Amino acid sequence: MRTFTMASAVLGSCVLLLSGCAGTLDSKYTPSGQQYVVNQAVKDAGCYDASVMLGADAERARDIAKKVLVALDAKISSETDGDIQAQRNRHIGVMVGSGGEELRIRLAAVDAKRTFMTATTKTGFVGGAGQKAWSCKIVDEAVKLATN
Amino acid sequence: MAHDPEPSPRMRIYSQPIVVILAAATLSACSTTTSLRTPPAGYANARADSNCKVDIYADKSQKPQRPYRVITQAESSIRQNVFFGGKATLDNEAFAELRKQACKVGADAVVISDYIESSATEMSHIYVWADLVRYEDRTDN
Repeated sequence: MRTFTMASAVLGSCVLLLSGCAGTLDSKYTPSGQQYVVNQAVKDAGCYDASVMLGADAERARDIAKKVLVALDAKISSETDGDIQAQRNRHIGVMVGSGGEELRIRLAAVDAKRTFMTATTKTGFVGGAGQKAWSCKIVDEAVKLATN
Repeated sequence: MAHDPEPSPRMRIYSQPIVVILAAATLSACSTTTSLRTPPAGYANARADSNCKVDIYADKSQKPQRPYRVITQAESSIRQNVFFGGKATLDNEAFAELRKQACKVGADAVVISDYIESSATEMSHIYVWADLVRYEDRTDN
């Protein structure tokens, strides 16, 4: 009985670890928070939160943000001038299901040639094992589009 | 009293969840969708022939040296399962799809404005935005 209880506890912990929620949709980064170099991304350790000072005006930055989200297989759920929220489409693969992550990009025009961008990822409880953090990928792709 | 007939061995195989999942994965191995932003009235099917030749400008710094006008904008999404279809790339799958669309609408060249390659689990994905253009010094304009 005791062995069974311990095994159940270990199994339960593993399931929780594999499918746990992570990340929030609020970024800790602010344009004045540190010295930003244009088109050089600043990322947290797990890639749930990332930021960049894009070398692009507000209109182009918004265009870039939407393109990156669409290209990462996300559907935009809400959108204002400086705030775009989206969710990645869910897929059932051969190895594991994926998708469903919530993504948020915030934009703030700094001047005519620079726009501050933050990207955050929130993974959900159900299906968390197949989900990943996309914030680093978002800012990296945004930089590529801003510089090419 | 009627009894349900015993399912055949083939039916039993199809009812296995793993078979259904694998079949779904195979069917969803590849997908290509392209939308053309502005309907190119007057140009449709202008070059729908087997000899259709289209120039591709993949680098933003390169534009056609001849005078041209944009007749429409294309947005293509190409997704492939790396196990079943290989990795989707700009040079192969995206160029081929854009060439096909350009020929359909009578464009002479494709000027790529942005593209993003990504992958998640076993799916590889390329998303590309391009202008489909027509040279203005063509003799049949």
